[in-house]
Amino acid sequence: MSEPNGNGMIGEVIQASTTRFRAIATRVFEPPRFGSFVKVSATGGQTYGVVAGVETASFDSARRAMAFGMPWEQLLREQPQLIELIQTEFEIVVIGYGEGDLLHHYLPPHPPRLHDFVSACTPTEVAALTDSLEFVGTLASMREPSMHELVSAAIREASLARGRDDGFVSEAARAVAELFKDDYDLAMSIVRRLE
Amino acid sequence: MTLKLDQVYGQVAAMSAALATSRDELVNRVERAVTEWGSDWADEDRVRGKVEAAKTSWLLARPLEQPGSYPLSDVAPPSWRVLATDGSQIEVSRHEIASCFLVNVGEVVLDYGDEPGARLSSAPSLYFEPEDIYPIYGDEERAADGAIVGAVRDTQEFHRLAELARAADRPAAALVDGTLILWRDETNPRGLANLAPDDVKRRRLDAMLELFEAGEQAGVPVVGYVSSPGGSDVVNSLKVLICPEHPVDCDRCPFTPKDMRPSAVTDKPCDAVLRVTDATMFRRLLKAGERSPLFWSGAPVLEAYGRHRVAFCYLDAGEEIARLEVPAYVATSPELMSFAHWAAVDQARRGRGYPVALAEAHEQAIVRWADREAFFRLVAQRFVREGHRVVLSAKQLRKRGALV
Repeated sequence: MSEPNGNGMIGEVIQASTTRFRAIATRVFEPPRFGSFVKVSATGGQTYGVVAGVETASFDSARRAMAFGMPWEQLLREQPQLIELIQTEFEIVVIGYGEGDLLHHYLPPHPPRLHDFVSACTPTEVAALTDSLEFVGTLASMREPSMHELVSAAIREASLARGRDDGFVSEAARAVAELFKDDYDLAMSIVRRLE
Repeated sequence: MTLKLDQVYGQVAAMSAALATSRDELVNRVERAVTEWGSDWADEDRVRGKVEAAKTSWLLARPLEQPGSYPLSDVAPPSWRVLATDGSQIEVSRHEIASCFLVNVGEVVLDYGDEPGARLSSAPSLYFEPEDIYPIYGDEERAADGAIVGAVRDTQEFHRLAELARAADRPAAALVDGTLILWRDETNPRGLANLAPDDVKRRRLDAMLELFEAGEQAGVPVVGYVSSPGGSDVVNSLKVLICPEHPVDCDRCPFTPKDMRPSAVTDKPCDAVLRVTDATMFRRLLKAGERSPLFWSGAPVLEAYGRHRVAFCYLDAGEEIARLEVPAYVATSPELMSFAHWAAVDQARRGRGYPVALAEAHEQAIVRWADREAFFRLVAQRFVREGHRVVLSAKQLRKRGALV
């Protein structure tokens, strides 16, 4: 297992496209939180995104994990190699990018490079990214099967980073209601998840 | 086109029927071997006298330890380490663009006890120089074929394992996948040690001996773990004890008619244990975790090993009877041997029947078909970029795009 390099690296990009990218977590079982805000920094600027899913599995697709029937603490003593054979991957939906001092709430011209490092956004960055509620629309447009979970998780994470900002949550709820005015049930299922 | 299973089916049924008949006979012979082991082998002086003097065409196990049972003793140190290496290769292919071969060595360092941890890795080496592709093998220049690539691979495995043994900072055992006896070089053991130092065969032998030296200096037992062993060295020695002749000389077997070879006759006294393997016999004799006494191997190639002769024993590893082979410095040290025994049993238990370190070293080393294809693509890309001529054989091109 590689050590984090000290500047908050939490993963490394292994697959990237315009709208989303995938990363391997630096430590097994230690991915960023679902719905939290992350970034990839490169010389041209930063790509920002929201964690849309996490998966932990055997490193080698030809070998599936098997059941050992013992608690983790015992398992690590019994089979110390196991932790080297599994990895945690996470998927990020791109919501914007930074260029110098400019922050854009739309997709970047280029996806991040493979093997670039992923790190968590600072509270200041999250506040800047979520001052505009554009991200709610971007996430909603992804048509994920669990889109309502993703949208509500991102709003909750943003509120946390902003110091439990109730005003922000109310505003986001209004944006959700507006966005899904044609689908009352969906709008309500998101709003219910904001409490 | 493919294997016609329907046509094999009838033959499988016939095989199964034949097996049932021969199994009954085998059961009786195993029974006899077990009896001989219990009575004849117990008489140490007789065993030594008769086995030493025998002239046979088969390998004979010579007793090293007293007969009896060698149960598992719990020697678990507070923390310990198990080391293993294994290799795989991409052989020279006439159908590919470049004459080269690749050896991939996987290595595993597993720490147990107070500070559990693991280090798994693999390292590839590419061989492409003229002396790699046309090396000297057994004093002859030969194009690098499977046997040569295998020898280069073994050399690397032993070499890496020696380095890991030297670096061990706690009690450790070093596992080798399979035998420590270089059977392939059997034909001329004395010649083996006299080969030029860069001879591929000689290098493999030197790497094996280097591993033994490293293990001895570091106090790390080297153990060859042979899964489902087919050997019958011990049963062969029982044949000598069963034979009424003294000294035994198979070339003058009085139970074989003059115009026949002893192997063509199956009612000689020694045929009472015909085709019984050591593993089948010890399956009956050993309890879980127990090992047999140690024997010296009589393999002629061991003459080339100098003071590092190889001994072996059988082990009830749970799922199967395994054969453990150890160099002399382990065989003659009760302390190293009991650690080797314990570590082998512990590894087999953790690996559900087969040492986890060996299984993982294999996984690290393995070169899958897709890796092989990717490797040759990499070579082709580089060659094209540097302006070398790239020609694939017609057969290879056909394989990449079959006509349907």
